[in-house]
Amino acid sequence: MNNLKRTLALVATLALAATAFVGCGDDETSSTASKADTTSKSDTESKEDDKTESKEEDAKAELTVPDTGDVMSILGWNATEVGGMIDVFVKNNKGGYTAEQIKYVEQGTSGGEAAQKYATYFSSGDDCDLFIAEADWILTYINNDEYSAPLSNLGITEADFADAYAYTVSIAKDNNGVLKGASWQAAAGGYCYRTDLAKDYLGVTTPEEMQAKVDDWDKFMESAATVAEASSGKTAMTATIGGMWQVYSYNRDQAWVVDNKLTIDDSCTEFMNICKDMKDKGYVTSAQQWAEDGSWYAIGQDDSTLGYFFSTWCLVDDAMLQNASGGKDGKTYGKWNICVGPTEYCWGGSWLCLSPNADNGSIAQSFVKFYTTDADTMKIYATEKNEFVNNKKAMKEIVDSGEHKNALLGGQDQFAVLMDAAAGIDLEGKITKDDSTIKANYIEAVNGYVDGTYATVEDALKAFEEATAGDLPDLAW
Amino acid sequence: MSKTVYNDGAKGGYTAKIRLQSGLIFIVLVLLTIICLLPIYILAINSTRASADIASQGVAILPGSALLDNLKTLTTNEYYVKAFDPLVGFRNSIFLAAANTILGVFFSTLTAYGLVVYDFKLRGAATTFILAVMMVPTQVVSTGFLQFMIELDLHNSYWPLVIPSIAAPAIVFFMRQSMKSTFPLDIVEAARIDGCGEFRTFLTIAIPMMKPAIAVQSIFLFIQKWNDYYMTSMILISNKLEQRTIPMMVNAVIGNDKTPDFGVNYTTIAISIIPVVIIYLLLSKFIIAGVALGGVKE
Amino acid sequence: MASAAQRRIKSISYAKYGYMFILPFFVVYCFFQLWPLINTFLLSFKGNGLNEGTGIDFWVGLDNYKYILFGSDSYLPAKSIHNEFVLNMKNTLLVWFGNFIPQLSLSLLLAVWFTEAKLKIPGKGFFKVVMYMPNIITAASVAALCIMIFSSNEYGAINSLLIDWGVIAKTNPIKFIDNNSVWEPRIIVMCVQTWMWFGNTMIMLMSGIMGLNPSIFEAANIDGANSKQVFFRITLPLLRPMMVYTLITSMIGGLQMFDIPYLMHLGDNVNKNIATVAVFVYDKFYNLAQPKYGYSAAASMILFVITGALGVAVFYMNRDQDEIAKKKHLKKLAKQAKQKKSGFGGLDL
Repeated sequence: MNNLKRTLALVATLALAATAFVGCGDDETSSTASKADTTSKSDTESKEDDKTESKEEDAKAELTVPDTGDVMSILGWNATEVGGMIDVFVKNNKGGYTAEQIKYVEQGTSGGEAAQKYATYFSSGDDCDLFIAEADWILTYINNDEYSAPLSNLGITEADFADAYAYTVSIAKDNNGVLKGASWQAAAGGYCYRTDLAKDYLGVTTPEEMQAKVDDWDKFMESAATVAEASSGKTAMTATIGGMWQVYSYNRDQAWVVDNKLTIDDSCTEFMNICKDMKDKGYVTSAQQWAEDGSWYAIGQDDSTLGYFFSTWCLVDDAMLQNASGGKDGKTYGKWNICVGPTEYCWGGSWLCLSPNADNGSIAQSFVKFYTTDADTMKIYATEKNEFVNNKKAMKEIVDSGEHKNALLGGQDQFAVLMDAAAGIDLEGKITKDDSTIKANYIEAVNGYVDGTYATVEDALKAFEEATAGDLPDLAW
Repeated sequence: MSKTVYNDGAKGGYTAKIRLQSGLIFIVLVLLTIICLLPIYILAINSTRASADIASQGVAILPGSALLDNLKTLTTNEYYVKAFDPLVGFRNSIFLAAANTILGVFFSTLTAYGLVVYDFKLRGAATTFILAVMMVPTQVVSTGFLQFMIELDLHNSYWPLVIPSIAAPAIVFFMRQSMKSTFPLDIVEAARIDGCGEFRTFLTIAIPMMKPAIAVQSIFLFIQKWNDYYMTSMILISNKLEQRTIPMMVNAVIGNDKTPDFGVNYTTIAISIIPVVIIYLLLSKFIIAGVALGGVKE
Repeated sequence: MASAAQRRIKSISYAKYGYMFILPFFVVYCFFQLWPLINTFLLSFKGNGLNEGTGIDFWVGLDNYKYILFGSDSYLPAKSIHNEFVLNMKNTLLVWFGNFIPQLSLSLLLAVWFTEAKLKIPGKGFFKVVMYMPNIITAASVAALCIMIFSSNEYGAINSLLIDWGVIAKTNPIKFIDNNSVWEPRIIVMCVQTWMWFGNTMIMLMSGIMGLNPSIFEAANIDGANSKQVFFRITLPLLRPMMVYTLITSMIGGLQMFDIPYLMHLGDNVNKNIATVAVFVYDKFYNLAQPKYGYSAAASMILFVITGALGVAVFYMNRDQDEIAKKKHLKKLAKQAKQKKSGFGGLDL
């Protein structure tokens, strides 16, 4: 009896161990096989690219992505936005594609999380056709052929983006000049301000008058002083240091990394002093952007701030400005206007990229074209969702018709205001793959200087350099 | 019996002292209760308030009236519906937590029994190994583990989330300590003499005797696995709704920093806690009773 | 002689059961966890970033350990990593001590109160249930709750209460969770950890106390011992194995504290004044553009060594007890082998 039990137990354990190892062996060969497939596929694709690119520039690229998959997967982190895109596509696409053929796969709840999770997802071999990437970290993905494939595989070339805003195309090219991403938005930013407070404190009634008051940084500061005095120190001119940082970091003269060395633009050093000055005088609040406790939005409702520096994607439905107003029935809904502000800037923006393992070529091509090259469909999306789309023709038509009114802005058409700003965005040579890390460290140094953790600007800069050195050992130190 | 013995001894002064002591202790306990329950109370209250209210006043004493609205938003808003499906989440969480608990506690008791009752050459080494393993921080192993699971194509399934619980060093350690102080080894001898097989001894004698320790570790492990977020979100790469556990769903809702609705956030957390609390309240009587019963041994 | 031979025969024939019983554990462990552990160990000797020669695929020997433990005056990344690690270690120890000592004292006190038959505390059952409740809530939810309650603006729960009571001015709310605040977030984390775990520790100690044979306590009462003597001379020594367990697990838990420090921050960056070593390990692993597997792995090895050393120290302090217990037990076994059935199997020290 004992013997039998003992033998059974031993056999069972051995069997368990054996199946485990057998399974291990099989899958190893299959996974190496699939890896080999991928590399060979991308090899042939790049060879085809060379061939197509060697032809005349206007020649259409071939759609080489196969249609063997059943569902197209889009990776992203903003369920509302991607969900909206899928809805509008399904309703208006000409290829008869239905909602069952498109799937949104959520990877994290913020861009930063997605940036990390995509790599794991790709290595797992799960289905992926398109993925969304932000300007701050897109370079890591498009410069890696294992993560991203050229858009020409979808039959889309640079010529298709003739009407797009130039910067969206130049950012999405990898180190070899191959176009790998397409954006559906032009992320120009402006200064959104409360119309009622502006009337009370600055005496302005139209956006043009407001623009005159904030036309450059000197005038901006003067108006800030006026507002602070008129409101007895209650109302700040702008919401967060982080918001102003987006404006300043766009207006740098050079990239953060030049010749593999960290370089701090003079404007950024100046920014530290400006922020401290503003904070001391009450021109900016102490709220943080994206604060989880809602303090970033609360100041838009309790008159703590006159304005926010917002980009176009903050003005769509269910986005930041709506939150800052307290929602659709909020206290300050509709009491905002937008003007360009002291300087033009670009903040953020997302790109659609193609995965080398994509297997739903037709839908992917249709989807990408719908949102990034086709003026008519992009116009539909712009009007339905209030998004500033990446097509000059479409935007011009909307602005000229004068029919677009954003209820959030009391009926103002934000597209008209930002048209020229968008056209002027130029990020050539100013983006690096480590931007998100560097900018986050810098703003932390700025906050430290402003609240007294660092006594001098030099201390803050030294802390910034040290933090960045730890984060980015690849640079020259 | 023993009660009368010492009650007789000191009479009035003694019992008054006891009552005073009990009274003071009671006050301390009430204070502790308030501290323990206060955040949960705030959670419950805030679930009934609208987001704008919460943003302008973090805490309120009286409940608001927005509970139904919050629930409605949670169940109809397209974003939340895709992120949070309580029935699916509970099904998954309960399955994972229960499977982990059963496997973990059973095999840990088995291993601890082996280490305590039997004297074999590698016993010391095995014990030290298990204790050493316990000291390894979980973050150390997790990414290598994930890569390994990807190679085995076991990611996106529940296998990597359940089978490893068979090797749970902390529970083995607890069972071992517990056995060392309360388990009478001669019972094993007696059972052998009576002709009982080793495994049967374990099943029919040891496990019932270790009931209090098993009960305690079962609750702890269940709760720990229920609340586990990092391991599940790491292994379930595709983040499919049908596979998500409750913590993953709660995180998806709360993590929405584009359009935060604080009322909904609180409601989500409340929904995720309430069933666990109810089950705990129901079972705690059995557990406390089991702990007390198992203690008295002859 | 006869009994010694019997003993020898018994232990030989039953030893293999020992191996069988522990086999599942080792099989599963070696299969699932050992390889990743070895991999991490190997990674700690490889580099960081993606450059040739110093990247994650290249051997750098003991450089990672050197930089983390000693820093460097000339190489800025090393200095940065060293400072960060030292700060994280400091945070870990501070928060652990600040949490562990109150937690253990409180749990022990409560466990004794709840198990003492003399004390008449109404609603004991209710209290026991309530004390464990905080442990049920997910750490992520607790962190989210904390951020809301301890919000740094004037609408946060605590801040608004303090303003109403006139303790602080409306324009100057306390920055609890600000990334640059040093002690406020630390104290919050200490309190939160205690709040979350004291019920857990209390129940474990209670189960330990309840496992003790009550006849000892009755005997002590008959002999006229007061509660203090009972506690220090009887309960604590008998509870030693359980106390060792509690000490070790809360030490490990404290050194590896991750959830709350990682989640409790505003905006994108982790608050470096509460970041623990576990956060360091996790953080260095996740930067796609320049992954720092080397530093991450080295830090986890260091953490493992420290935890192990402390564990050994705790065991060493209790080792004698175990040896004495074992010897006593063997003697008892020999004695009882002579008498067929034993009547007092419970007394096992």
